[in-house]
Amino acid sequence: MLSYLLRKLLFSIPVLFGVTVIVFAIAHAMPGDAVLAMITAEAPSSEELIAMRRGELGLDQPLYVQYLNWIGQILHGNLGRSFVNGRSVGEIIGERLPMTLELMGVALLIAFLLGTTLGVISALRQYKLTDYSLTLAGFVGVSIPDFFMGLLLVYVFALELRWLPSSGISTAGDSFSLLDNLKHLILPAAALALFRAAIFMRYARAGMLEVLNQSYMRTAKAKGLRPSTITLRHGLRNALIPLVTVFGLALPTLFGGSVVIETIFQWPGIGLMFIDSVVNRDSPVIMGYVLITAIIVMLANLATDLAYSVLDPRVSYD
Amino acid sequence: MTDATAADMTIAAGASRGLWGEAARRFLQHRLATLGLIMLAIIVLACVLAPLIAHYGPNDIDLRGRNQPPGGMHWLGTDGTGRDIFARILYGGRISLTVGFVAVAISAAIGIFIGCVAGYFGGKVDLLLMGLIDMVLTFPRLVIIIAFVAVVGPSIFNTMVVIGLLSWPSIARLTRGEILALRNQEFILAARSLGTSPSVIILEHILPNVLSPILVAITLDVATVILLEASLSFLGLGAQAPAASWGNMLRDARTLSILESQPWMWIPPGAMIAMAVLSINFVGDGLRDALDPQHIMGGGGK
Amino acid sequence: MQGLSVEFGPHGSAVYAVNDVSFELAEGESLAIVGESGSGKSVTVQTLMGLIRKPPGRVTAGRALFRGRDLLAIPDSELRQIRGRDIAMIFQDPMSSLNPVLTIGLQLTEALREHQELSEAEAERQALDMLELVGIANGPQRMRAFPHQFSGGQLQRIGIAMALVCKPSILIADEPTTALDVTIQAQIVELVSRLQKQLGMAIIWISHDLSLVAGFVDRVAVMYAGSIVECADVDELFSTTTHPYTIGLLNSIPSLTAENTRLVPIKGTPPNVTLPPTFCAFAPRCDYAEARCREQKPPLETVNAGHTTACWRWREVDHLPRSPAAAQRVKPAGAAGQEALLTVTDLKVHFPIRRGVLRRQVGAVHAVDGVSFEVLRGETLALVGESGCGKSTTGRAVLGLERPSAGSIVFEGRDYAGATGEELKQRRRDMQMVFQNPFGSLNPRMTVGRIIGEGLRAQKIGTRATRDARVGELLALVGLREALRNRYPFELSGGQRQRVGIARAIATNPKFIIADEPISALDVSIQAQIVNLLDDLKVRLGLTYLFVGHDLSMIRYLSDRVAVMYLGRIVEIGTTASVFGSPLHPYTRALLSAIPVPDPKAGGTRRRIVLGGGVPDPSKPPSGCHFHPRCPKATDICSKVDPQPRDFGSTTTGRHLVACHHAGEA
Repeated sequence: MLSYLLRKLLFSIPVLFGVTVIVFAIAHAMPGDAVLAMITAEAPSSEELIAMRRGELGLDQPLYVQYLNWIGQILHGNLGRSFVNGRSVGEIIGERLPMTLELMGVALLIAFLLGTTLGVISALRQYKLTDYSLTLAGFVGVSIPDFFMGLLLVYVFALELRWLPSSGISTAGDSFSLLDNLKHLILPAAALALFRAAIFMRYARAGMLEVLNQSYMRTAKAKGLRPSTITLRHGLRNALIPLVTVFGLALPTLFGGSVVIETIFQWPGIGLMFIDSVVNRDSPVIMGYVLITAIIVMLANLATDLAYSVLDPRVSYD
Repeated sequence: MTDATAADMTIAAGASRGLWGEAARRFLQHRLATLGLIMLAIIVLACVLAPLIAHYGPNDIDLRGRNQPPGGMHWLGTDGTGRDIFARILYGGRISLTVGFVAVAISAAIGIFIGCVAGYFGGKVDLLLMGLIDMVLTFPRLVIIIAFVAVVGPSIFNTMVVIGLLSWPSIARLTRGEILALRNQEFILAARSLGTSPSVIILEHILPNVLSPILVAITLDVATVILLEASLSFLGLGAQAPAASWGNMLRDARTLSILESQPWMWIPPGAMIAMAVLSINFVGDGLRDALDPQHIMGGGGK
Repeated sequence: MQGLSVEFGPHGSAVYAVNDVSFELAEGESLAIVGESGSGKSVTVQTLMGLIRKPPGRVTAGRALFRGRDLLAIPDSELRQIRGRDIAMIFQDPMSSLNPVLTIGLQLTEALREHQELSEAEAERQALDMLELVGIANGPQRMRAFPHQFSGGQLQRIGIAMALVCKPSILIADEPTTALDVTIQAQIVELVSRLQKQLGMAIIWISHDLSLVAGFVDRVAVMYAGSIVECADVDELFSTTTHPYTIGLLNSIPSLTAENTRLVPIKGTPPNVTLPPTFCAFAPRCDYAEARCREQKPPLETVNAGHTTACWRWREVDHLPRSPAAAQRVKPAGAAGQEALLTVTDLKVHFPIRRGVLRRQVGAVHAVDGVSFEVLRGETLALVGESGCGKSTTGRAVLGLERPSAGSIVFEGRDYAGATGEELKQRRRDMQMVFQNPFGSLNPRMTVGRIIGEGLRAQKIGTRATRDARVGELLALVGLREALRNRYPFELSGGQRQRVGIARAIATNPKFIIADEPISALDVSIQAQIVNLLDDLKVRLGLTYLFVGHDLSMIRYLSDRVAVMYLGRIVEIGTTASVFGSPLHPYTRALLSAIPVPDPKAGGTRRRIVLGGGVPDPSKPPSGCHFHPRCPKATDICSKVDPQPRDFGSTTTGRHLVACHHAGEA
């Protein structure tokens, strides 16, 4: 087990190295650099001034030196400064990450609970109307892009019914309250969750159907156990195991989804920050964002592996 | 061998349908798949034949008829600059579908190649390629595509290529897994024991048998990529104005007033995305059932 | 049970799984229901327990009275009270019939707590008693273990304990030993018989193996295509067999006592159960069939007290000879020459095990661990042993499909162990293989014609036209119609597929065939067809066989010499007559004594040696003689010194090598 963890961590070093190289390459290839971004603010400029500033920032050194410098900075926890407002990237991300994690976490929770419940119900009612309707709903669910879902939700619940706010994280001017925050959270989280709930539902249904055909379910029935005991104790536990993988796969797509949803709902998380930085070509922020998401996804994958070994006693990592 | 002659009597008389005939029959029995195929055919045809169907060009401006609700000459109304929504949807569909098919073609080619190499050679090559796959999968796909587009600049061509170049890992992984599973099948052993050469084994035994799951995955990938392109265009990083794509037509809806009072401008393109994706998903699901190797592998047991 | 009928699937195209089945079971009695796959035997008992899924299953008629209550009519909530408490069941595959993520303890106690509302501690105490009863040592610790931590034999013991915790009055055993090795099978049969007497319960034992049940049940019901065709006390059934199908089944099992007469298989293929049961389902395969059999379904008629049979012509059948087509075995026994075609010396195949952070090799599975034997031209050498003994790996290594770690393989005077490329390809023209799994060994996307012709294409033999002609010849040779040439494997039955596999193997006119368990995936009545085909081909084409298998009665029938393997080594090798007649290695003796005999009277007189424990892990073989931990004769020397093979043969019996320190002792 420990050896497995170590090996996994060891393997993530080259992956992390690759990630940083790609991030660095992207940032380097981006038109415009820190100096030009700053210079535009300080008119008038001359070639010497630019060259001097580049020297100060180490931009005239060979590429690999720049890369090593950058890595060194990162290892010290320094992600650089935004070209746009000069603030520390680490600080900006630290400020905004909780909002995104809140949004993603709630969405993932809704998606998992809703999807799994419906999937299991669907499997238990196989060949019945409930199953057919849920399966069809699942198809529709994975076919509606999350931003369109977001717009529809805003249109119906915020603009037509006026039940919920259409954007932001809290009502402007009011002091922060949890209830107010939750009201703002419902629509974006739902928009992000529904697509994924449909995916969870599909896998939960397939998993449960497979489990229902296993002979240990027949054994349980032959023992004369209650149907609820059979379904919950013998069925669900086994059906949940493959869902761990789906959980792991859903995470990276949630980051992508949150970029879009945060844009629609003006949710001040790192997704919105990322899109703004892309528009402004603010490469330190872009680099910081991509690096942070990659690291979070990697950690999440590790957690997924561990969850497997907890849920399934057959898995032994040696 | 007197006892043997009777052994093959159970096969009923009548011509064999063959494998593809059998698959086609199973596909057509799948009601949703047939529906999906019809829907998809209509959508594709309508987009291809856009100039014959729509009364307007995608960028024709009707100055007197801006912000018109559906009805009259403009079946689905017009947008803020007086362009016909219906025409824009058909022409926009060309872009969305093209991006979907071309990007998947690129990623499938890369994915199948890398998957075959990793699966067939195994060992160090496999380890290295799997590492690469893990690395690419560590990035959230949409995020890394956005970052790349930020570098190369947004355009339809770039969108297509970037999506194609970054979407291969899932197909590579699938191909590799299928090949690894097949390598231990007895019929591969049998072929080896007959002295069949490796290249013939790959061509005759492995490829035909890995093709169907890959085909299913590719079909479903087209749906995913259409969603991806729509997201990119919606963020303003895909197809650029004035060209229409389903995704960028929804950009207008970011304005609350349009979202609230001119739903004809954003609901139709959104619905088109959903319908196209839904029909492809139906087709993919039908293919999965129709090509399920269980039916031709036979399952033993009772 | 009265007149049970069960169908599956939609009304128009239903599968008629069980048709009008009736039987009785007295308190404390044991009844066997015997039939081939698809005969409806499992469906019958699962319906009784309310275990079939509805839909697609559907009970169309019948009653099942248990102490006056109709199990098919009472609501499921009441049936649930009976299930597990009064009627319990054990299943075929012990590995998959236990829940992999729950502990043994929980799975053992849950029925007790459900039915008897015991406290956790009390339930646990009773479960522990039961574990001890079925012979699982170290109970308290084992209760916390998960199913994957046990061997198949142990799991089946646990499955039995689980069924018996509530002390049921009926135990239904659904092929509980089919997935197990023959020595483990003997353990389980003995356990169940003992528990039956101890607990005084009635048993319904479902099996495909008439010989297995002959030894320990009171009564036997034979099922075919969903109907009981014959039912009688076990002695009566064997002495006065009346139904042609039962006769056919008995004739297709090689006898351990009778001399080598040719097997008489039941002709044709298993029945089609999608036709409404309005005629005798066995008629298409029956030698006695007449017009009436194809038009009307025969009712069960009484032959003697307690003996019923469903055949229109049973009175005539009774007077016909037991084996209507029995001819002397065509194979000229002992025709094999003395020249060695293949000589394997000290062959080893080890598979590395990698562990740890750096995936270093920490050990190896010693699949084949120093095996030497020779195959003489024209003979059939059988390689027998239980699963995991390395017999299949040996076969594959001989063909070059596994790379040997050490040793030499000399074929016609040339060593080609570790050969690659052209040399190996050359070898493979003379040497071919027939595989075990008739489903997995044929490429599902190739036509039968292409599959058979593959070797010809690979070896670039002949032109397209001559190859086509050759495929036609081969089809005829293995008894398949020319029309099957363009069919795909999924359109063929298991027996037909195995014929295709054989045709593919002989296409290049090889001298030597390795047959890797070619019949173990087939039904009993089809096995005999394939064995006869292999026999015929051997004579006609002058082949030499290395036959890998675990069915000892079949092997006795078809081989000239036998090599018995245990944990990667050959423990005994000699002529079939001497190995079966006077086995010298303790393992061979135990193995032979575990073979079920198709004779109910033999059960009492035969002394059965039941081995303790299971086969050890081949990555950590025991020191010295690999067999010593399970050996009844083991002494000190066995755990220290590797026994070398010694020859116990004589001039009349030929060489008879035994690797045991104690062989030959009184």
